[in-house]
Amino acid sequence: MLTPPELNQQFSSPAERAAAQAELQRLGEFLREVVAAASGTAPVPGWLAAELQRPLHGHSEPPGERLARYHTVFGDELHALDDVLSSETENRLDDDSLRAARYLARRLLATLLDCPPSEVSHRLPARPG
Amino acid sequence: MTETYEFTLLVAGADVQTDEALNALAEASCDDATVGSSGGVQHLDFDREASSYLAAVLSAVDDVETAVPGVRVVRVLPDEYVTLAEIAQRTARTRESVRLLSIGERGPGEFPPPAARGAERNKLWRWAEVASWFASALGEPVHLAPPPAQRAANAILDLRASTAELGRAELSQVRQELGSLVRRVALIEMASPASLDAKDARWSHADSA
Repeated sequence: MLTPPELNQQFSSPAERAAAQAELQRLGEFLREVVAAASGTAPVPGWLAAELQRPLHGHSEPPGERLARYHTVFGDELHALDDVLSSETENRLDDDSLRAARYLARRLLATLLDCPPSEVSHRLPARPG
Repeated sequence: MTETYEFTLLVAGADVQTDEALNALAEASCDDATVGSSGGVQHLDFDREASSYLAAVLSAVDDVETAVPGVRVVRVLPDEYVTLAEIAQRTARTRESVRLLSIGERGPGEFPPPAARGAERNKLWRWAEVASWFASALGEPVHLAPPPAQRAANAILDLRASTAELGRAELSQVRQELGSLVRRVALIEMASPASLDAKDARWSHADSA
């Protein structure tokens, strides 16, 4: 598959679209916290500190190193998502971009949390911070 | 991995059929093209090996315009000749079904005659004629829209040509729209599962190293 799943499908209703926007905004806030912590511009939030303590694929790695490595590997994607989230407040995202951004956010967090993308929302706390 | 892509470039602005131009084209990696003219329109028919259709077309555009001063590519056309197998694929039929239609043993008859290799086993038809026949004789609307990569190539050529004729305010608007488009394309490219799988592999590999 070359493009994000369901990329060419229209949202079936305004409610479905609004739900996708809300999910993107929520996941985006968590990812912004990750970037801020990795860049040293904000402290590591509690939820992220807990995740970084967990062994990944059976290996333990100092939390700071893992966070820095994540930021290095996925820096371009995190930056692109930040751009999208910033522009969304000014211009409405088209459906394709919204679907792609939501899929990207899910995948980025799934990698960080080491869980399937479908479980990302349940693994995260109700609110960032 | 590379494949050979067949396409036609329509060109304008300079004569590409002079000896000098033909030599320059050959030296500029265009020895995979046949140069011709039809109805006053010059064209180059390419069989180009590349990693993708777009890579093939865009490299050919670059080669042609570098080789012959003043020439510009104005349009990309698909390979308009199709085999029975390709007709079957495009019309979602079996090859045997199309073969029977082509020899009049099925359907209302008057299937278009082959346009080339008429005496050979692997005959070629003009897609436009075949598509028109499917629509008129069978009432089956056939998808005539060019594939997305060809539309993208022509959109790039159209945009490039039109910017020379736009005013400053319009150019500014185009630049803004292009900026949005570039971000959109980058986002969709990054969000492709294949791209993310590769990044995940990098992440996992480094983790276990």
